Parts: sequence; structure tokens; C-alpha cells
Amino acid sequence: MYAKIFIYAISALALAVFQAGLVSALPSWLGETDLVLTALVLILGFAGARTAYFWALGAGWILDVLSFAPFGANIAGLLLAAVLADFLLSNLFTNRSLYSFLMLGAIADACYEFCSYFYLNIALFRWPDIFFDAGFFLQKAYGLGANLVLIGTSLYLISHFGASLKPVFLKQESLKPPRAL
Amino acid sequence: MRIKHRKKIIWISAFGLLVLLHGSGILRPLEDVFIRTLNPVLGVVFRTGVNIGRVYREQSSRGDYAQAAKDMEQELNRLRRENAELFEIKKENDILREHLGFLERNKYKYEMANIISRENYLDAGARTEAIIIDKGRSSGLFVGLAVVDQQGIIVGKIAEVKENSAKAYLSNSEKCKFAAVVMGQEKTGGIAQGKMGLVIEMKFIPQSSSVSAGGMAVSSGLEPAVPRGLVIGRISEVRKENNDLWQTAALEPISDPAELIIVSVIVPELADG
Repeated sequence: MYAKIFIYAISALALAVFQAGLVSALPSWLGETDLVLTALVLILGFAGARTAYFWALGAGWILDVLSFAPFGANIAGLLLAAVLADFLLSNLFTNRSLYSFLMLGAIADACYEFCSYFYLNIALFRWPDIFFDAGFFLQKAYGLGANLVLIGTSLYLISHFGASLKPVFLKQESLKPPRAL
Repeated sequence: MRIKHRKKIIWISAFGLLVLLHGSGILRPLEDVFIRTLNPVLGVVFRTGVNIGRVYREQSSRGDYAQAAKDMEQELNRLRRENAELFEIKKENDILREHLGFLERNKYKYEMANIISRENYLDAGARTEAIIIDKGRSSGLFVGLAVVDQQGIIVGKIAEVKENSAKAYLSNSEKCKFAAVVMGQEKTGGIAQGKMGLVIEMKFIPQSSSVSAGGMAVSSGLEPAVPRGLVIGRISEVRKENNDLWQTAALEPISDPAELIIVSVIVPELADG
């Protein structure tokens, strides 16, 4: 159990550092990738809601400490995204297919972005002014696309290297009827 | 159902507790140690990101070779025209650097810092307009100090400071303003402010002043935390309307913010006092 906690803590730290350092330096749509949120969706699907909530709290705290934004924006955004994704995973997307994960990723991404944005505006006593800003939505669309590509790639790699996660990608051979003798 | 609600309340309480502990400053020593420990790692990771970005830009610019060849032909003609002009500017720049005699020669007190991240939390599109550096209050930094690149050209201004990190808006950001003058015309002053993350505009230049493209805008020294004579940008265009009170000059930033990795923060002597 302690080994698992250690692995999750290290992964949260590493991803938060890569998010703040590496991703922020990347140009164009690459810089819109959200490693932490992608990992959160995968953790929710494969390790359960409790682990995902702890992970959201830990990774959110690290991002908030490193950031100059009002404290709590990342924690609030990640926790709410985890709660919403957990609800959808339990009630709507129960089959854990690639499409389920992509939908979960898209909804969690939208939830995280809007929650953190509104949290920041409330914390700074500002009136949100994004509704007529096409640039804002275009930027977020790039981010969403990048995150979905990342989720798809991660799932493929997990299914390729992890035998216990094969159900995510159904192989065509397994659907063929057995050959008659 | 009750258990589910209880769990939600526990998570909300955990979030509230973290915000409270941060706001009250109880967690601050832990956070400061955390940032100080992570700063070197973040610096290396950020540098890797900049290198990846450079490779990405080079590769994406090679996308269409036929178009590139055509563009290059036009570019060659343009560059021939500019070559003569640039030669003069280079000479001027060399002289300028000699005059400025940056950092050591001018006995500026400065703090060199690594960039560890880029951030603009309310405007994702403007992420390239703000940087986070690994030096903060503990190194004597405070809000309003000038941030310069390795050539001594102003690239930004400190906007927020933590114990071991600081945030600076780059000179192409609308949130970054400097009191500026045109080099060699000490009475031709104005306010240099970033515009759309691309260029710098020097506003409020009196109509009576004569400003022309090709000149250099430098810091005026009117701000106590920013020394006089630091290069802000080269004047590329002057807009002057007869019925306006002021004229405006467009400045080209001399350094590329995407390539910045290390910067220096100039700490004036008054900081000691």
C-alpha cells in the first residue's frame, strides 16, 4: 500500500513539474496539453475514484504552489473534474472503452477549464469576459484536441504493455467465430 | 447516500483546509522549501521544453518546400535591401552596447535567474507574455524591477514576487509598461507598452518631437527601479495624426521571448536602502 502511495505521489510531482516546466515552454497547440488532467482521467478509470480524488488534491496542490494564480484554482478544477468524471463513469460510460475515456476526457477537460477560470475570476473579483472571445475558445479547443490525442495514445500504450488492460482495445481476431474442424 | 454525501463533504473540507492553511501562511515555510527544491529541476525541464519548441518550429517551417523556395526567393530580395540597413544597425548596436557597457561595466547590481515556467492564468493565448523565474524575495527582488536578457536589452518587468520565485511580464505584454525616451533625444519621452503579445508601442510622444523609424527607444530613468539607458526596442514605424495630441511609435522587440532561458534582474542601488 505504501509503495502505491509513493508511486502516486512521485507521479503527481513529476507530471506537475513537467506541466509547469516543459509544457509551458512548448509552442502552439503542444503547449495546451494538460498532462495532469489526462493522468487524472486514466487514474479514475483504472485505479478508482478514491485514488483519483487524492491524486487531484496532491497534483492540484503542487500546481497551485508553483503557480502565481490565486491559490486553489487547480485543486478546485481538478477535484470538480474528478467528481464529474466519476459520476459519468458510474452512471453513463460504464463499459470503459476507448470512446468512454475520450468522452470522459473531453467532459473533464471542459469542467476543469471552466471551474478554474471561474474560480480565478471570483478570487480576483473580476467579471468573466470570455463569452465573446473566440480566441479563448479556440485555444481551449486546441487543448482539448491535444488531451484527447494524449488519452488515446496512453490507452493504446497501456493496452499494449499491460496485459490486465486488454479490454480497452478489442482485438478483431477475438471477435471471429471459431474455425470449424 | 449519506456516506456518499459525507465523502463529498470530506473532500470539500480538505480543499477548504488547504486554502485556509495557505491563506493564513501556515504552509508557507513548507511551500518555500518545496519551490526552492524544485527550482533547479524546473529550470532543466523548462530548457528541454524550449529546445523541443525550437525543433518543432524548425520542422514545421520546413513543411512545404515548394512554397518555401518561392518565399525564400522573395525573402532573398528583401534581405538584400535590408542588408545595408542592418549593417548600419549592427554597427549602431555595437556602439550602443559599448555605451551601455552592460551589467559589470555599469556596475549594476543584478541577479541572474533561470526561467522555470511560463504562465498567464487568465489568458491562455497570452502564455508567452509572462515568465516565472527561480529568484524571488530572498534574492532581493521586488515588484517593478527590470528584467534584461544576456545583451542587456529589457525583456520584461517583475510583476509578482514570492520567497523563491517571481513572475515577470514580458515587454510584449500589455501589462508591461516602461517610461521610455528615444536614444539621443532625451526630451522625446513616452510610455512603452506591449501590444497583443507581438510588438511594443511607445505612446504619448509629444507632437512637437521629431521621431523617425530606425531609432532606438531606451528606458528614461524616471522609474526609480529601472536604470536609465536600457534598450527597449527599435522604432519600426511612427504614427502621427495632425489632430492628435500625441504621436505613437511602434517598437520591434529585439530579443525573441520564445528563446529566453536565462535572464538578469537589475536591482538598483536604492534596493539596498
